[in-house]
Amino acid sequence: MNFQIIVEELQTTNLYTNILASLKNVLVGFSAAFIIAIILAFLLYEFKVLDKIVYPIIELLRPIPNAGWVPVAIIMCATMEQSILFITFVGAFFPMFLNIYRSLDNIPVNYLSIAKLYKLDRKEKYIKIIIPSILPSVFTAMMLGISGAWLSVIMAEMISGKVGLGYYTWKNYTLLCYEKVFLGIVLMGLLGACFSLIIATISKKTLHWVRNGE
Amino acid sequence: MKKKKNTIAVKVNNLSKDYKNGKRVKKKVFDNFNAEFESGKIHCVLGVSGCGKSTLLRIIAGLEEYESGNIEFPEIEKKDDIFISMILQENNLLPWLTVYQNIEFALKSCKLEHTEEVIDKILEKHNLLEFKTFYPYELSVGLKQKVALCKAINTKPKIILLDEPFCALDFISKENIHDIFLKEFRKEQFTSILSTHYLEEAVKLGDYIHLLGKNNKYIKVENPLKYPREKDKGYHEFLEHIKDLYN
Repeated sequence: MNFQIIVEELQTTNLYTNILASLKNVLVGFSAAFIIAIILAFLLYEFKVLDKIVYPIIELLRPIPNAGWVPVAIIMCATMEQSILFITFVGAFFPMFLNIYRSLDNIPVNYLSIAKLYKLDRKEKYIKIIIPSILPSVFTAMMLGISGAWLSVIMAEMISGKVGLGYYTWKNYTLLCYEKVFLGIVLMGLLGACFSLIIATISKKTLHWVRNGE
Repeated sequence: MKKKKNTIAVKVNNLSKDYKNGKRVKKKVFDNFNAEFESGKIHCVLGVSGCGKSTLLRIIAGLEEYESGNIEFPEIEKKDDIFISMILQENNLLPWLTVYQNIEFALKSCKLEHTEEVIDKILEKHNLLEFKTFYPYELSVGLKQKVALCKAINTKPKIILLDEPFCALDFISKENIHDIFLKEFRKEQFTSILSTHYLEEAVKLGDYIHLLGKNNKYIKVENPLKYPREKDKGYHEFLEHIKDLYN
């Protein structure tokens, strides 16, 4: 392997343009998925009728592999960028939703009893009891979600991208430039680990009341 | 000790409660069950696991639905106020709040004064000041229950429900917490209903012992012994008497 090619590549703007494009996609897709997952989980927790209708649909869609969504994304979305965002969203949404949804169902009954004993109104119950008690699971959901988003964005860029780290790696594979392929793969791993590390650090700082901060 | 008339604090009328699996009744816990709990007394609800002790307490606290009957609190005028405190077997403290914040949360919720000075005084009185900034996970089981008891007592409840709160404690912690409970009880004379499956605990603490058995069997016995009961000559005799009644 010629490491000189890798060193030279690290000095070009092309590589960083691709990295930034992937980062943008993953952050937009992940944020949208997080917001929708949390809103939907709370809605289903609060309205049992809605839960009975929507949850089975989600369970039906959840096992579809991310690659299976690619044709749907291409048909549904106006641009390639939108379809990549859609795939990223799907990759992040399902693990996050399921984790938050389950955590709401598993709030220790004694915490809810405390809310009832102290006659907290709905707003107080959410702020003082429900949200803090699901916070550890929300961070776990975020860890799973960001990994899902990252895997999906790379896959989507490889299949249909015009820019991004996935596209960069795949393009160099077709050009038989294996040093750049290797660089792309290493960067994918490093950036993925960075995302997890950032969330783990925030989680540790926020959840100082949980043993080991996990 | 303040003298109080034998008025009724909690009256359970024709209570029926089923455990259900969907629409199918799995077990009838209470079937037209009636009980009275005199105010200013310690009531020990004694029975084996699964006989409905905790369910009864949760129903009185308003935490559980029931099929029919009603629960009366004849002495309570403003039913919207918080007049019941409850200590559970575990998870009495919110883990994301420190000892100080847990007590502050309880006082604030009960609309009682919750300045730092007041809370520090409470903690100092119960020898808990050194644990002020501790989170529940940093406390032993005994200390957690001690904080929970301190929290429950200081919200000035009319009725305090204790759902097997001492069962996970070692015997020294149990003795200590019993002493704190009795000391506070003698001072405040709130109506206490404690569920337990330990006969010795019921006889030691209870002014009245409510025996809950299978098939809706219920017997209420007044404890003839005076404090400290375990040192009374008749203590073991009374233990045997309760055992016989239960069997």
